[in-house]
Amino acid sequence: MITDFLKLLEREINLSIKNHSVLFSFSVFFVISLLIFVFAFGPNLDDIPNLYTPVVWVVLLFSIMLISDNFIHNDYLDGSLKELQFLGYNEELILSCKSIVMWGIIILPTLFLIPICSLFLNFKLLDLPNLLINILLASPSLILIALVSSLFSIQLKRNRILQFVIIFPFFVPIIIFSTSINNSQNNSFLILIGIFLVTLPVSLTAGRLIMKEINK
Amino acid sequence: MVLEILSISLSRNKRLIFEDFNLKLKKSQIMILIGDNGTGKTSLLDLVAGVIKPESGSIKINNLFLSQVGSNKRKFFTYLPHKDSLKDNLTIEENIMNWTNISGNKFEDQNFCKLLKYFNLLEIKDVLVSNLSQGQRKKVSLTKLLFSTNSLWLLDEPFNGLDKTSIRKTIRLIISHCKNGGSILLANHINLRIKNAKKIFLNRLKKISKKEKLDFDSWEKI
Repeated sequence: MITDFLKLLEREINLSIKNHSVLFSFSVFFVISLLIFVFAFGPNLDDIPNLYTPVVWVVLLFSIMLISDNFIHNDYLDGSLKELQFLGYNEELILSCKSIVMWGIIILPTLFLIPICSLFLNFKLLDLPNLLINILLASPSLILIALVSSLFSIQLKRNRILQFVIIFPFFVPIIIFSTSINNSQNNSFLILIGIFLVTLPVSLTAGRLIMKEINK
Repeated sequence: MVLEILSISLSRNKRLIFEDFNLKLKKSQIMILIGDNGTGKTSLLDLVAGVIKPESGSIKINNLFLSQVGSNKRKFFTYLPHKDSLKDNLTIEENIMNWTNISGNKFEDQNFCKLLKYFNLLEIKDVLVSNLSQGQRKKVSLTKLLFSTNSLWLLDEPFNGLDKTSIRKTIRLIISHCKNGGSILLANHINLRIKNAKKIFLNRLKKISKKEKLDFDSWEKI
């Protein structure tokens, strides 16, 4: 099991390193989307810092959903998702490795991009650590849901809007608790960890079931 | 028996593809599934590979049920599906290395170049797969067989997109594998001539009455 996990992890890392476009498109999409908000807010600087956190979360959510297709859909199109299955790799293991590598490829650069982007939006630097910790804690759940959503889109084949409609409610609690960083008394960190602990088995099981259905 | 398919039934898209279907593949035997598109060639290979499950019946590989094989599937057979599973942003060499790593096939470094030479891929081993033609991609995919240490090969349309020389090389590879004790289940829509290969015409099989199926005891009889 551990050997399989390491082999898959090595494969995903190799593929992601070679595929620079994923990191590039993610970073460009993230920064440009935040910049668009700067222009959309207009000259009133007082309101912008309060809106920075929700804006970052919305942009991050859409970026993750956009990039997750590269990890799942491309593998499905070239047949490697099926290949991993008939080689005997556990579906949960495939999804876990993909989510770990996706987290590394997307979230680690985000931690560098967010402080830079916060300068554009006049965000208080004191609130930055809270925001970054929240992203660290909530992003694994977001990534797992996004990967399942991507698998779901393959299964649905026809209607991708339906995919968003069905998956959207699962993002809501994460967004609610991760945006509540201004209230220092809350336990949002613990709640986010709790959400992750629930999301992990549920999304891995859902992912396994969808992966089996895809080939039918 | 290397492979045994025991009275399987399968429906896809609400259409019955196989009903009470049996197949036995012995050591050093080549079996070719011939049929038009949609007759169930790929489905049958997918069933053997455990990608899909039959509605009834069972499959045995080396006298073990597929469920008993579990995650060790890659040690029992090598399957080349219709889609080549090659990554566009990797070179030919990287793709092969990647495959040998995940499929658990080991090779000696000095053999690597020798094996790539078989389909004339050595000179272009550093070329990205995205820059290859369809035929070259197929050759990369078939090169995986040279690295495979498994005795059972499952090949889905292995000659698609290949030129005459490469088709001959592939047939030679298939025959030499069988001479060395390997077995091959191959799906193809064209009736190619391969020495000592047994053929199953899936189109004709559909026309066999149910009574005949019940009386069935060998492919030779059909």
